Amino acid sequence: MDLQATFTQASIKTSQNLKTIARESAVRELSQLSLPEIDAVADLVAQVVPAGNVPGVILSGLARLPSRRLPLQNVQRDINLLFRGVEQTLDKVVYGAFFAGPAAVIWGYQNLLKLAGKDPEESFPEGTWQFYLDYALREDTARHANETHGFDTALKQHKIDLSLVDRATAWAMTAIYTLHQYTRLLENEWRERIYTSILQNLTTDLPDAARYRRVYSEWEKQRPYGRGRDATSVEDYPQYRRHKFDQFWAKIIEPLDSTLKHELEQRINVAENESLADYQRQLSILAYLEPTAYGEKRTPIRLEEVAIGVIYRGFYYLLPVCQAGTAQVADVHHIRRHLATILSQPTNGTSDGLSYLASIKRPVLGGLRSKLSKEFQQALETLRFAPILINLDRRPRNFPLSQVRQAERGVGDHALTIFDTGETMVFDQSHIFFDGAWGSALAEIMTNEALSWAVYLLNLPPAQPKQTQPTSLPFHLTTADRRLIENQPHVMAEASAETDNIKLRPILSLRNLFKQRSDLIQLTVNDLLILYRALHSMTYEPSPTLIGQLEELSPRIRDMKRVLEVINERQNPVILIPIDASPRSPRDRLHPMTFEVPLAELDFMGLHDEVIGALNAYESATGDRAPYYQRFDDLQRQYLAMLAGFGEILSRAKKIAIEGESMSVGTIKLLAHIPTPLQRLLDEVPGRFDMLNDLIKGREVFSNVGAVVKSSTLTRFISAKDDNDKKLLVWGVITDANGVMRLSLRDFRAHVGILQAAGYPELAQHITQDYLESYALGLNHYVDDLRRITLTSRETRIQR
Amino acid sequence: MNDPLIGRQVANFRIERVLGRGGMAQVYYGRDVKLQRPVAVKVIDASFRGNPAYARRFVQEARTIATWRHENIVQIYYADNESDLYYFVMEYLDGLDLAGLLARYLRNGELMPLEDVIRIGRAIASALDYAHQKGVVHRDVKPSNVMVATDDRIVLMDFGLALDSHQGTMGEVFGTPHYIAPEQARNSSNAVPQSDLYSLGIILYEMLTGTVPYDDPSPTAVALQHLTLPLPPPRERNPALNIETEAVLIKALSKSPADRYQKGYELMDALEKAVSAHSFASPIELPPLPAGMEFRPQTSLSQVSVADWLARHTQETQTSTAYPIPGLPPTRRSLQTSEVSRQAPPPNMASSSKKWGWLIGASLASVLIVGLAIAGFVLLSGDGNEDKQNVGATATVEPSITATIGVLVPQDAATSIPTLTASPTEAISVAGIQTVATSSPTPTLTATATSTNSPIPTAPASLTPTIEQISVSAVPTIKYPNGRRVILLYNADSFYILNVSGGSLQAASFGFERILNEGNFLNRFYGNQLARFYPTLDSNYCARMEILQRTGYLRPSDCRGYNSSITPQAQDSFVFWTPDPRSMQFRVLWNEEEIARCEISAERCEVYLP
Repeated sequence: MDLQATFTQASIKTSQNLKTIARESAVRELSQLSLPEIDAVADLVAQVVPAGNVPGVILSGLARLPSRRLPLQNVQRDINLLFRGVEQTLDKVVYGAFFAGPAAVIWGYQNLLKLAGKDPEESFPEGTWQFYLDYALREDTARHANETHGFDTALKQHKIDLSLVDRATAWAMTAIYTLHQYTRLLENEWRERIYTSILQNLTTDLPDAARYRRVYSEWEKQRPYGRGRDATSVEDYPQYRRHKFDQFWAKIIEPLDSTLKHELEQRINVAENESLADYQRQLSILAYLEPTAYGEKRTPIRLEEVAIGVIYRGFYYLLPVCQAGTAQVADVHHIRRHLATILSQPTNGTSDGLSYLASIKRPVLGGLRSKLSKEFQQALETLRFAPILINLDRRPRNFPLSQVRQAERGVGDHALTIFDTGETMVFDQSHIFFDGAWGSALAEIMTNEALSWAVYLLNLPPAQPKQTQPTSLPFHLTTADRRLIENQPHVMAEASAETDNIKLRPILSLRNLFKQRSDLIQLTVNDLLILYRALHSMTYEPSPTLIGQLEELSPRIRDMKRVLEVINERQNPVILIPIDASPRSPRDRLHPMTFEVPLAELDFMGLHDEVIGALNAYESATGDRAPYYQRFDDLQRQYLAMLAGFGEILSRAKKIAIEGESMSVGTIKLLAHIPTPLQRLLDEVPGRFDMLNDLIKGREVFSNVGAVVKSSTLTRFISAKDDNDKKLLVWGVITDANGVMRLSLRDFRAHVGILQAAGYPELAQHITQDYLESYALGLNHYVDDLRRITLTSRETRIQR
Repeated sequence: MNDPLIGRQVANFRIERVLGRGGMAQVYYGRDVKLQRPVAVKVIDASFRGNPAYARRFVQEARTIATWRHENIVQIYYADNESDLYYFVMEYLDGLDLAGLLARYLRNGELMPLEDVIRIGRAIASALDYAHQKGVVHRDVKPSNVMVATDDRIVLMDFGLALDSHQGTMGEVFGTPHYIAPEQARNSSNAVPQSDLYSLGIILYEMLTGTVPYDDPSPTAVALQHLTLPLPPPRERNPALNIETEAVLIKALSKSPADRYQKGYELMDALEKAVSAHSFASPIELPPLPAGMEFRPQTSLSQVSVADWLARHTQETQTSTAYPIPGLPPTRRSLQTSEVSRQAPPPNMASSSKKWGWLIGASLASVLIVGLAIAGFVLLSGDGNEDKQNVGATATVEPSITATIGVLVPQDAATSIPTLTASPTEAISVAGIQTVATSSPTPTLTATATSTNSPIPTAPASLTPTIEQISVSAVPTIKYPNGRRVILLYNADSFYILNVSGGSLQAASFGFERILNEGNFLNRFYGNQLARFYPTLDSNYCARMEILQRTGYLRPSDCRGYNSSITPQAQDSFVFWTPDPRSMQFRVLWNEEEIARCEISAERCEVYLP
């Protein structure tokens, strides 16, 4: 029996069992659904989660619980049961080929809740995304990273030569203060989003509603990421930012009448009482992760217990965050001396470190730990209390970020690792604790704070090391331990590349041209990136250099055929686009939306070629060129209308993803030349996206954290992928303060593992770089084409 | 207010309010009632309506650009004349004109970031190239005709003076004198496409240096300068520019059109290439110290007032002869000082009175200085038989002491002590004594510990005038008496740093901060603001801060020139020296170390840098 048939059979059996339970009168009474609807849901669950009798058993159990809201422990237990059920029902091969991972299980479970008349929203008190993260973004590949250059650039600009000890102290103190201030940092985030969102909702009917819709983006442009010159000497960053926001807010609400102000205040108070503390708890990094078979357990830790982990020459050391026996922040002179002692250690001795363990799959990590020495286990247990690790062993600046992070970085139980490249700092962040935007903001905040510490420290006399030897955590492995670790399953092999070859200015100029042509062509920069990604996936051709390399190495690599298959694959990908959902509710964090560019339906490639052909014909024609222009003009209008429609579809989809509501498509129909397939597509955009369903479908991640503010020193960003092996490419985009768009690509396609195993990791790297560069250069070319098409008019031609 | 056009509808456009006035027309904000979009309506000024030449020119502007489509040229929607009302309707742009934008940078004492200079320059150049290709010369390219829209679009406006080169000209001198090309200044009919590029060159010059090259209250004089004066080297105005950038500007602003760049894109390509030779990293200001942190050890001034010290000392001496100073770790420097005081108490002190015994026995120089200061006073007062009386005497001088003295640790200060009793007539107050000690770095003043055994030095005669010249309260604390000398001159409207050290100084190392009466600090100013313009403060040059739109600038004649100029607004957070009831002093920082405190009312303060 083939794999598909095995899977189908498992689904049928699951469905039959589930229907039997679902049709029982006790369950039917609870369910809000009709019998055909019950059957349909049961079929769907069984198709996605073929877990034998387990779904039925769970449904039966759910039906016996009186409350509409379930305790979290019950939810976690049931989901673990479902995982186990799928594992037992499907054999390993079928499981690997068809099972869509945690998203499928959580989605299936939510439907069981519906069948049992429970409230799925209430059963995930931290929101579906957070629950999903704990189950599906826990591996080493689920960490994203960003980089800032502000610390070193400022030191260089001011000709400050900071000693290594003071450099380390500046960052250690920053980490320490970050932990002490974290609750207030989150409070600021929450306040700014909630205040502006409540204001927006409250003013929708006012004539100047548009002004209030823009308040948050206005604030985004001016919010400080560090203490300004106007900060008082005792005002720390969270206080300063709060103070700044309050000033901004006072001006914003000043024109409101007193009734509205009162209403606003009341709603804010209610929100504050109901959800601020929950938000702070949910996003706190004062916690460690504990891997279980199917998900991570987040265990909160008290500030007094917390430490900062410092990695130097491969050894792990801990620094206290508080003064002994108190919750008072640790003294800088003490920390400095401690670091002076660590950094003055002689080079002898070795540590096995933890990098062997960092890439082990989390489901097996828990079991593996218990097989290591007691001393090792104890050291790991101690390290759990360090939410921030600072790796002082310099990493090469010219490495792609995903390679920079391939150094000592704990085992993945913690929130953040900071790497030093000597010119920049790299922040490696767990997706469970950080999303791209918040992670970037925190990196910026920490960079500014570290600079403050540098200014302070450079005026102190040199630190004297302590006489006593510092104690590092004893991470020593035996040969047997190593063998044991090597035999464990590891995360997918990865190659990565970065480029800044995308020309942003022509893209921005194109958007302006569009706008001049018609207000209805509302394509964002990201829309163009996504559109071209689809075109690129269908048109990519390896460069001659790469082809040469492949041909040369072909005889030496056994699975070269598979490598070539991967390279030559042309498939329009389903792209997962993380959308910031926090403006609506900070706790929701992200809403991932999948999107498949309707290349075939709209015949984008064919139409593009046709328009360019007509334009060339018009430009090169002699004599009466009017018919040529007419032909071009018709096609141009059709193409621009198509682009407008594409932008509209994406815009609508994003809005639905964020708000959970539909928007009018009336405007798009104003376009005279809207192609019929596009109208059909617009009508097909669903009224609501199912987040988990989208997660199941996505094959690539395309994450754009946007353009940073002028004062920012963020330079690079790589996104993360979920633990599902079906996500093969992860694109990350950031635009720095100089207007340079920097694109990163993490490549998890099959060839990477093959080439790494064969001893040719550079070739894998080259393939990724080639793919990325062809995207960047192709996009530039595509944008030039679009500019040409948009700019050309008959009048301009006649003047020539 | 009484504009009859407000509320009127012409064609599909309702006129709602005035946006601005141009050379010969008024611009209104209006609304396209059919398409429900905002528009700008330009209407010929009533005084010109009867002038057919102007009316024609006005209509010509509309006709000329209505057929164009360029992202950097304002889009005309409609043009007509209706009952003698000549008007045209164009897209409404929400934003700020470049003149306003540049004024903001100027107010903050900043220059526009280079990438924005390039972006804006390129947009203007692109618009001009397009117009020139159409045979049209703009003839009035200036910052107020460049709109920087909120969506970042850059738009060249107001082709009101545009001249179709095929149609000839009326021969008048048009254009704005600060941006006018020499040939255009002679006669408008001489304007060629490169005249517009000259104007663009002036805009670039202004964006890159903060000033236009030629300026005078008389427009005619400005025009003449364009015709006759060589270009003031851009790097004199902004030394941070590189030679390549300067060369591009010089070529762009050649007197002869033939010597300039012939196309806008050529100019901008050259400029972009030139500036990229720079390190493009924008300057990053050093942030304030971490919240709650102060420079305490070794280099800091004590936070403890003299009066407090005396009170504490009096208590302490009842039980001990050695007084440990809390919060000051025994650094090398302070230990040396204390050794000095232990080894060799100044002979005059030893011989004067038994009442000083407790002071001589003190372990730190800071205490010694304070003690000596009081001693000086008591000696002069001729009273001091009991400790109690000392305290009483302190009370009488308390305002002067507490206001002007910090407890100094360094050895230099201790060695200056002998001069304290040198001349009773000069030792009017403690502060005065310190002035003597620091105003002339004579060998006596820099003597080491052993020199304290020498006979009591007398202040050199040459120092006396200095004491008279300098306000005592203006030189309250001097930490590095042998350091490099800088004079601060200020009044309510302006502040100047005059470098009389004999060498150049790093401007970024300065810092200033207002001291509130309760002891907190406010209005921090960082020297790197000065350094943005020029990294060093040259010998006998000044850095200045002149509050915008004031008239009482000091402009000291001692300043040979200005390396940096900042024009803050009075309410800017870094204005630290202006009169304020909450504050009597500001402090001077050098590399974040406090080196002096100055009286705001003194309007002059001499400081010494390490």
